[in-house]
Amino acid sequence: MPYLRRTVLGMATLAAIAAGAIAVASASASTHAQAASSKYSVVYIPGLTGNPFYSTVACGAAVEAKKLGDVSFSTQGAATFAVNAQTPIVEAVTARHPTAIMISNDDPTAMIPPLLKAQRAGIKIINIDGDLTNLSVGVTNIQSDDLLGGQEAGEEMAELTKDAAGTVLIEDNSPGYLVSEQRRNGLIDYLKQHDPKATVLPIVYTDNSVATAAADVRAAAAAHSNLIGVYTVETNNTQGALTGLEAAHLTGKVKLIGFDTSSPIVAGIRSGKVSADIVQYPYGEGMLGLQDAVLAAEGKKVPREQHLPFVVATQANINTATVQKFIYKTSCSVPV
Amino acid sequence: MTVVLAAEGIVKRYGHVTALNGASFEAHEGEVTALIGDNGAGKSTLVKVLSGVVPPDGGEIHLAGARTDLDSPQHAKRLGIETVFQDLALAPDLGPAENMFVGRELFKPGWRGRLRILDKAEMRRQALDAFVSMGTDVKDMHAAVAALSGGQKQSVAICRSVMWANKVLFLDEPTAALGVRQTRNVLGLVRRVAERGVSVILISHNMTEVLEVADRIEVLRLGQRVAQYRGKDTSVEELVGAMTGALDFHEETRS
Amino acid sequence: MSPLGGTAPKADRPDPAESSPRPAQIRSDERRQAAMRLLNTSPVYMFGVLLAIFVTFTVINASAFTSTGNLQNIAENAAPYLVMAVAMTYLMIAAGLDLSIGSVLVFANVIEAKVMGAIGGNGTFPVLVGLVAGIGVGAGWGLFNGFCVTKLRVPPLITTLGTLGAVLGAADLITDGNDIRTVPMSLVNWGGDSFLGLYYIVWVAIAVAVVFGLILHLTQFGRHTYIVGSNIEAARRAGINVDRHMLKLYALSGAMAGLAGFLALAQFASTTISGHSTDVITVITGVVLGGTSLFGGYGWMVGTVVGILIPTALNDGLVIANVQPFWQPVATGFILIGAVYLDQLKRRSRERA
Repeated sequence: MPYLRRTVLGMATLAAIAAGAIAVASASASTHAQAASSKYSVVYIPGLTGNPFYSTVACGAAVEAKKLGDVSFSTQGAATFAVNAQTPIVEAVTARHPTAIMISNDDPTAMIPPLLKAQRAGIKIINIDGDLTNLSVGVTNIQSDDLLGGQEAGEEMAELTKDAAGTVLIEDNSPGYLVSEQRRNGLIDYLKQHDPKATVLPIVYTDNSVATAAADVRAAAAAHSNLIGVYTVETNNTQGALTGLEAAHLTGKVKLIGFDTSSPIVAGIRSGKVSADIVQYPYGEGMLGLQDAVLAAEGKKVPREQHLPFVVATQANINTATVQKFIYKTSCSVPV
Repeated sequence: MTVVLAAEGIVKRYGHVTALNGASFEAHEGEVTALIGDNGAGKSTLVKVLSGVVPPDGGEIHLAGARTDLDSPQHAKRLGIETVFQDLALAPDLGPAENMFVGRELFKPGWRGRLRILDKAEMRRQALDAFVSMGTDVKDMHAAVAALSGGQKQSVAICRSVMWANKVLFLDEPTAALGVRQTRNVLGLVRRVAERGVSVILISHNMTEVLEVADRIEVLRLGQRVAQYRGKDTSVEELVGAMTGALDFHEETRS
Repeated sequence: MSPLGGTAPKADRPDPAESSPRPAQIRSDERRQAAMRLLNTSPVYMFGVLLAIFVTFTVINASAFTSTGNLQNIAENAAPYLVMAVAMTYLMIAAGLDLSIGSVLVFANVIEAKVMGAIGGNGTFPVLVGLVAGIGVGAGWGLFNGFCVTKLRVPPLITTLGTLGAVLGAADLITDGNDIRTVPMSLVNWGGDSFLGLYYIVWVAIAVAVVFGLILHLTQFGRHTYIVGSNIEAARRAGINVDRHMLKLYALSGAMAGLAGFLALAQFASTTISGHSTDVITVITGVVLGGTSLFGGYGWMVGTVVGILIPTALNDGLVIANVQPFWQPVATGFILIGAVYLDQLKRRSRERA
């Protein structure tokens, strides 16, 4: 029956294509994962993929895993910073039952249920760059001291604007996140105490968009002729503000204090267009996170809250070894 | 012969253009009437007026002897007047049976009927009966209509209209896009429809065809009827002459 | 009732009375032909693809992929997409389109949370009121879309592209971009509860698919949807009120987005304002994979169910198979293109036959 034969043939071809595509992709996966018979397996779930900060965390962890030898490490994440994108990833990784999950959560409350399930299944939860609001979930939380970082930024801003009376614009992603809130408050509080002449404008939220950050900076510059400083609390905002100031021909006149690094930001620091940049230590967070995962798996005690240092990068010190150690990497010596 | 549909002095204007200028028309029961005329004579407009698609600006329409105003195509359909336009208005993805019942679907009896649940088996059965009784061979009742040949599509459209038309059926250029054999089949179908007692009105440009299938021929020129002929009494030359105005006369009747 | 009134048969016309009792041979032939037709449809082919995907992942990591928990997760993740895909199936069969469903979902999501919060308490009442409010608000946006398409004659692509932006903007205005993170406990509990091994959220999606699938394939409303999509002029001439029909379909699309927003709220116990911008792509992919044509005229609800499961199962399985995150969309895209391409080939050969 030609009809039946064609139907079966068609289905078989489809099945072959599906299996083939998955097999090819899996082959790429297995070349980067350690041998299937590793003693421990750790999976890192970033806030979103394609972000230099989180990629550097992964790199630090991957290099550490390779050094330790019997730990297999991999990364799984979604392309958007959203709870409904990250939850299915957590659930699928939980099904694989790794030894530990390192996670940069997209929401400190909404991500509790799937992580709690993972913890109940015996998986160790290592929080990177932000704790959950339920402290009984997670073995530890490793992050920068955001309040301190904000204060450092405030110190830089006060020094650079030298007591001038002017307005300062702060750009953030979305309201309601403790991490960025502390970074903002650190600067706001410092300025209030040490540079009362500077007025902080209402906070501008850019929803993690570089383009919006740039546009908002230009709008603020147009509306306030006495704009003396812009403070951005995260990568995309820093990048956006950089281009925004350049487009408005205000580079140098308006001081830009940024947070985090990426290639354009590093170039900006080198050229002085970014006056100062608060650089966290994601590589260290990844390294420490992996170490803690193994420790927890072995039943050893791990501190519940760990803060890592940061550096203030400027044109003057960007090329020193100390600062270079902190700069976020876009590629890694080891597959992540 | 009983006059089923008659129109007198129909006027229709579109802006500055007068498409129909006092046109008259009549069609008899059980006969095939051909409506012919040159381009721009007003054939399509006359059909649209007589099938309720557009209202006339003047004149009267009589259906089965009674003065009638056709408010809409739906109203005309309710009175038993159906039209098959050149685009056939078939849904290409649906089968012949589904197309037969478009807008007039049959429901299952009882409470399922109140939920408007379709009685697909009954619709298919009745459609098949219709095709069989009209001598139309629809090869695959389950195939989408798009897969049928031009002639079969035409036949499905005609059978559909015949299923619901009990008085008048307008066909606008039914064989225009068809080959010789398919034309033969459609013309045969047209005759069978007339034999059922339906008055079939055919618009056509093909004089040979017209002479072959029509009982009566009405000629339209410049928005008016200029001649009527009995099919067997006339010739291609005479028809062409009447259409183009080479033969000069007013309302000469030779019925 | 014989459809043809009229006069006596001619001699050369076949006698209908003779056609009735058909031999058993012909009946079984017809049954086999019907089965062949069924096997050759897109939903069946796509089910084959889904099966292949399941088998492949089972081979890669059976204990993880086929565990009850994981299968429940796949179903739960698919549920809100399926709910929206049900309405999108109707719309696409009628040659319409709604790109705004992700934004309407978010807007309803926000309204539901606000209403539940305003009524207060942790009982069932605020949840039900919130649900009704969400579906109502969604249907309202749907009616707006439908009005623009049918009365203002703005093409669906443009209309819904506009509402995609406007509705999300409205949701951001209401919340200042801030997710609402408190919902009644009864909703949270309901969201985590299951019945006979499936989450309630999944049961809702199944019920929606079954009810609207039956309506689509068995009733006049469904049949008219196909006719409008296949030849809108034929529908008009047949007396179908095409504008009213399309208005209902757009309203349904908005209402289902509202329901999906409710399911999301139950699942995450928080609004998810920034997380649904690509939902419409997943939904349309699922509907198209299931065999519905983008140009209208045909489609199957069963196909949509299968079609929605394909990207959902793929996304889950690729994570379990530990495929690198950047490879995953490559694998998914490859499979999608391959599947639809083969389906098109098969469809063209079917039309020629």
